[in-house]
Amino acid sequence: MRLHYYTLRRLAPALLLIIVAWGGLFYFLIKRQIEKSVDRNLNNYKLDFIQAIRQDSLLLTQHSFSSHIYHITPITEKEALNVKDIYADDILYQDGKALSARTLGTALALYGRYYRLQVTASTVEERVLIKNVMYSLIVLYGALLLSILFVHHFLLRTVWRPFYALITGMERFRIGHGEAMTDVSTAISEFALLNDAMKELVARAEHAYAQQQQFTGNASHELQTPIAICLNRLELLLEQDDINPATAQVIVSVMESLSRLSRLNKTLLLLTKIENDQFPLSSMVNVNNLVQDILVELKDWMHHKQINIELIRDKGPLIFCMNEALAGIMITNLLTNAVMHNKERGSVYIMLERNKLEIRNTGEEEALDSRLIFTRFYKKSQGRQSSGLGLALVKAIALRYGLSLDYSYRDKLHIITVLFPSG
Amino acid sequence: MNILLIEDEPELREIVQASLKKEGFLVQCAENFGEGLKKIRFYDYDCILLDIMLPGGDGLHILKHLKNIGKSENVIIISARNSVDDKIEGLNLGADDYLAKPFHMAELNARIKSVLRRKTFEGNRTLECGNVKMDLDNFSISVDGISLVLNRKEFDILVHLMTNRSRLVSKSSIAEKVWGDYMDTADDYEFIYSQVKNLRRKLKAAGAEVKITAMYGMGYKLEV
Repeated sequence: MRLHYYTLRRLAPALLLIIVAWGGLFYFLIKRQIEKSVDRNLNNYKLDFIQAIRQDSLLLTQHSFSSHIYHITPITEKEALNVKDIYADDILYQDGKALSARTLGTALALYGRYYRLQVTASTVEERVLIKNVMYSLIVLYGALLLSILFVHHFLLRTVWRPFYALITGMERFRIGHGEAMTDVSTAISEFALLNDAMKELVARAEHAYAQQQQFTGNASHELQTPIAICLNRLELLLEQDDINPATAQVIVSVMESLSRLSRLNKTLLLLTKIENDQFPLSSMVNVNNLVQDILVELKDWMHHKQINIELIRDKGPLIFCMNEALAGIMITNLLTNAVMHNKERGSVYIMLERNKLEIRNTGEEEALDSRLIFTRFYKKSQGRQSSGLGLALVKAIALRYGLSLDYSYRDKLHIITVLFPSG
Repeated sequence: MNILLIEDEPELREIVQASLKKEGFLVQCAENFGEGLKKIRFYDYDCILLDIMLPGGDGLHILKHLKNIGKSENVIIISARNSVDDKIEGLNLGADDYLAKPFHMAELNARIKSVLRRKTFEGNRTLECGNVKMDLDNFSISVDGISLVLNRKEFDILVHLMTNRSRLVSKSSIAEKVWGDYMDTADDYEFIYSQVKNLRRKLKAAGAEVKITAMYGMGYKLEV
């Protein structure tokens, strides 16, 4: 989840809770104030009434006095002494309609006699007032919540903009491509700091990478000549007439190891060259024809290994713009890989489609680790002859031309799929 | 046959010299750019082996210089760079061949002989060994004047072995020469054996005076 929505999602419920609590509290306070004032009015009315009834005893028989309604009933002294002022909610019936009201029950002494007095006042207006207050509060706090979230949203967007720019820069960054990261200008010092730190990190990584590349390249290159000299000297030694067969066998095995070393070294050099983009020439390569040419070259070897090859290429020609030598290296490595890691009397199926090359082969009946098989020096079988670089080479070439490379294991077949981007 | 080797690596110089002497070539050496230039100015050679990464200057300038002074020596570039650009530029400047380091001595030998054949026989390229005669232009072979039928692979193997007669030719050298560059990814060269076996059988049946001997499982040698 994006930081943006993450904070909003955390903030919104918290804000809602606070605002609801705050609004509720405010509402109840207002409501209590209104109710208190109603009760005060009733009390004032009661006092007014008592004053009035002392002057006009006629009121004892009536039920209404200055817009309030009252009931007065005689009680005993004992009862009167027990009566305390009681306020309660009540319902008034007026023209057949029930209206909310409030009553005050009290007792009073008049001309030596005791009465229970109950005064009732309509609270319709107050109820309406309270209701209005409530609605206003809901609308007000709702609007408040929304505007806070809104402001927050826009603020976040502006504040984090340099951050996202930095992230995009990092995502686009590819080591070894020699592109510097674009500067993100910002007034926020933390982001400016991050920008500088990232720039430095990138520069350091680039530098280390370049050095490593250079080292591999130089080391392989410098190794090439001594290896060649050793091999050639041994070849000359082997040509001497007085050499005995046992010594010759030793020389031959040394030469075999040296040849392997030489091949390994050549492959490393090639990998470095591919990664350094030293194969600039591209042309339209007809992969179908290339596969066939290579199969012709490898035919005797495959035949010797008793591997059955099937080429299925009826789905149109696969033509792609790339360096022809690299295309050849890629296909050869895929094919030799499929043959070398095969089982006895196994098969290799080559499928060619308009933008897909798929090579399936029988072999060990167990899936390989798809994350590892394209890495350097990954060897499942301890085959002495496998350099462990063939598929790494394929991977490097695929990367160079934006081809997607995939491994899967289905129906006891190891499948390597190369997808060529169309167009 | 006079050969000039312009190469700065002393050990490689020594090996190439030793190997070519076995073939009966006269080999002179130059170890840097200046010495190379001096030698080509004063002497004539049948073939020049030129390393293009030399101390003191780019080997390609030697090529240009040869052209400027009007000499048409055969030049084989030997380079550790193995880059397509170098190859194209070298060949454009008049080099006859380009050989990437590291190389098999048998391969160097074959290239030199191919270049010399082109020069001396002017289109009539033949190889002779005992009673076996090969015509490289018509891909024909005869034993005692009677023609023999070989397939392309057998023919190429025999050419390579005859070029390097009495020398050990490794299987990897044969594989690369006959089957092509892609072959260096193969894990073994056992598949060569069946072709060699057929070739031997055909040569023996035709009464050829040459014999292909296996050498320590490493390669083969053609003996007369």
